[in-house]
Amino acid sequence: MKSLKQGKKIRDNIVGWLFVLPAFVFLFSFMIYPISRTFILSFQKFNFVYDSKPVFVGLSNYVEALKTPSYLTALKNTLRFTLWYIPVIIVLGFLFGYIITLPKLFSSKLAKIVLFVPMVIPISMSCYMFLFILNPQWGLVNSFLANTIHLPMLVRDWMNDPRYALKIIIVVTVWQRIGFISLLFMSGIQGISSSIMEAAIIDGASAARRMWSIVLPNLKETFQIVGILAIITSIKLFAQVVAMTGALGPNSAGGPANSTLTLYVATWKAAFINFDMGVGSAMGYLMSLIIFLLFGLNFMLTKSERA
Amino acid sequence: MKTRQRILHYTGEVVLILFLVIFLIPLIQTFFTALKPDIEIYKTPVHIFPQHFSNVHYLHVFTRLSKDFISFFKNSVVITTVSVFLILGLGSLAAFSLARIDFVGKGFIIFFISLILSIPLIITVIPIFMMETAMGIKNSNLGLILPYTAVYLPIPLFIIYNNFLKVPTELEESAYMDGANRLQIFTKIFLPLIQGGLIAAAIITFLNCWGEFLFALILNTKRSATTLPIGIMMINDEEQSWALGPMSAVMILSIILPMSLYMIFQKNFVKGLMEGSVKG
Repeated sequence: MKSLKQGKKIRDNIVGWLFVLPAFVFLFSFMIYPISRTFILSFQKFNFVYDSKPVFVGLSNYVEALKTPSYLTALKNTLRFTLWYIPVIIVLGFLFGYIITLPKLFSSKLAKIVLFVPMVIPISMSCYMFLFILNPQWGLVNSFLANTIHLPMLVRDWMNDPRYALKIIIVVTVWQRIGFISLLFMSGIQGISSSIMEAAIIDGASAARRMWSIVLPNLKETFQIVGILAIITSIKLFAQVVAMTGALGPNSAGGPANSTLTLYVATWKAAFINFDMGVGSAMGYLMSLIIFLLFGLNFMLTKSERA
Repeated sequence: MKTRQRILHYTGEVVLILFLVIFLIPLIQTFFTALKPDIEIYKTPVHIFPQHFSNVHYLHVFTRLSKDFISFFKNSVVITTVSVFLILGLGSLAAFSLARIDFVGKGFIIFFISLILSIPLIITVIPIFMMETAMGIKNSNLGLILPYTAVYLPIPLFIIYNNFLKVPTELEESAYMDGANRLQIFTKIFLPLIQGGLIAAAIITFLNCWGEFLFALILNTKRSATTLPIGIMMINDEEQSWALGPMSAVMILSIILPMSLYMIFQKNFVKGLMEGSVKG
């Protein structure tokens, strides 16, 4: 009897791995291997165009990355993006997540369809659409400001102005992500048991009171998840910048005047414009380090809460 | 009191609908720009609705730009379709095993797949670029299909995994009694039961591959080999002909496919988004 059970166990192990194997081969070749290779590369000097072989140089790529002035600009821009993006996406995501749970509102069903539309459009195309309406000469936005509401002093060359370029990229990113974030809030709100809500209504709690004392505390976990997702989105900000500022060739990406240069774009430029694979890898790992630290922090927070 | 509530309700409806229209303005404006003659596009003040409809920009796309546009479109279709099938095949096999079979190393695989979801992909692109240069598969459909299959595997895998977890064990056990093996149980019982989940996984994967930017930008730099998102960017400022009108037409043509999939399978899509995010 015992050996029969053991036989099943061995067979389960073999069959289990056989089923996973094809997926694992792909993950290994295009994920596990490259991730480790980049880690090694980050300690090597290797220019893809000039050098025939990588040479070990210790931490000098990391030092060089951190010494590059534009990398610090990139860090600052990523931070700026994060500090704007997080509150905006949380407030709007919660608002629309709440709106699409309202059963009596006819248009909330419409909202549930419309808010997801940007997710279906490739992000680069969304960027071009925004470039169209922000076109300084023929765009809808400037025309609206100048001719419809007659405030011509508000007209700007939006994407060529270092004061606005990053903010517009924030708007595009919010536009793209709002559907998914609202969905997370929606399911969080729907997860609150209706009996608690009904009891509060019977006890005469006002809508504001119910929001403050029941809905918001119950959404703590959702807020946490959304916050982490927002930070990850901020750190990975890339396609929007290249699509909206790289029109004059890859070197212009991150402009005007480096005002939209992010960590991700700086990494891409190091590796694929300068072909300095070593510094590029180091920059990539510095970026990953931030994400890993956040995950560690989140893990500790949730653990200490549960304990 | 009642009338006050009703007024509040209708104000809410109007405000929300107005907001939703403004929300879609970039798309609406692009849609109508593609249908306007040039004199209306290059004119201030800008109107949203065309005064005269014109198909000149769509004609332009299919005559003067047809070589580029058709090759971008074809590459996008081939790369996306093959990747979706590969991902669904590999993903559902792996998901079945992770959800239904006990084996050593399972925890590691699940942990690793969740990790992939959070790392910045650029750290994988650098060696993949070097690998594909050495293998000579840069600028080919295969050169994008292979990395896409790995990169976009985790989310559909988790969607299918969550669906498999819900299948009752009794079904599996009775099939065992009848002498079916694991592969038969997988294909004959499990797959047909989770059609909704498979559709959701397919749509999300389709959208991911269709709009992918980073890998296509770095690996397929030749105009004949690249996909729609990169191709449009490449040519946008190279040729005067890709001005606002034809550009809008190209964009509308590029989003028709994902948009119609979304319209048909809206419910599956939304459900899939939830199922894929719970675990990730």
